[in-house]
Amino acid sequence: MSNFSDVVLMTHVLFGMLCIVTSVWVFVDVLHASEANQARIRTMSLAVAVFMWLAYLIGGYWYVVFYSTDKALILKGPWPFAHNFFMEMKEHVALMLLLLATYLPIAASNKLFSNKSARSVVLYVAGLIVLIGMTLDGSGAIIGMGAKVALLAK
Amino acid sequence: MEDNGLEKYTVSYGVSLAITVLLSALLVVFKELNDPLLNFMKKVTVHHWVTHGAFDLIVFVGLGWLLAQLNGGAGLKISTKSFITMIVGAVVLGGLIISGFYLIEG
Repeated sequence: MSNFSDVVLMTHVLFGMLCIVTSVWVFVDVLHASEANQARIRTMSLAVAVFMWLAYLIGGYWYVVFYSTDKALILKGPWPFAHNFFMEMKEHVALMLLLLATYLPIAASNKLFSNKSARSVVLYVAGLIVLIGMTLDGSGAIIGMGAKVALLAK
Repeated sequence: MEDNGLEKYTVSYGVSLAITVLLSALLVVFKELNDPLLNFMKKVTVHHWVTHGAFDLIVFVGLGWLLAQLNGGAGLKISTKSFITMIVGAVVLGGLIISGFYLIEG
């Protein structure tokens, strides 16, 4: 059972990382937007949304089904802030990230190569996804450490 | 208002994104400080966080569609600078509200 929980959690992390990497791809591609890469930008923007939705759904499943054990452990350990701040912040900021990722393909549906405004919107949205994604990824690491130091302190 | 050449759904869902992000951040504060609201959200689905996510998605989709119907179906008109400032400002402010709240209450 524990192995299944770990697989679910790592799958969540995998899709989260894919969302970040793909957003970087979109950012760089939009900096060099042309008629030739328009279709690729739209496909990769859609991939950002799909990866984020998978990360959200899989992470949400893990959070609702498995996290209560880790939460109790973390709160009794030396790093209670790993839950009280980092997990609480992460679970709610992730909802903002989900909305940004869902919006990205909508913004990328414009003719980016001929519309500077649309390029700016996509660049800002992709940039925000990368920054928030990395912040949440780091928060996940701290939550994991919170559980680890709690086990070590036992 | 300036015509930035953005498609109407890009503008309407961008504004919806900004509003939803702020509403979501405020909902964090209200539900954590209000037990009846938190208990209600826990009863609606398996977890208050699931209800919170569903609320965000319904507001985002519904508001974006509604805003696109304004001006006789032409949607909202807004300058590019104001539009981007609105999105980035809402995300930064929303993040600060959530982080600040848990920093103080956590």
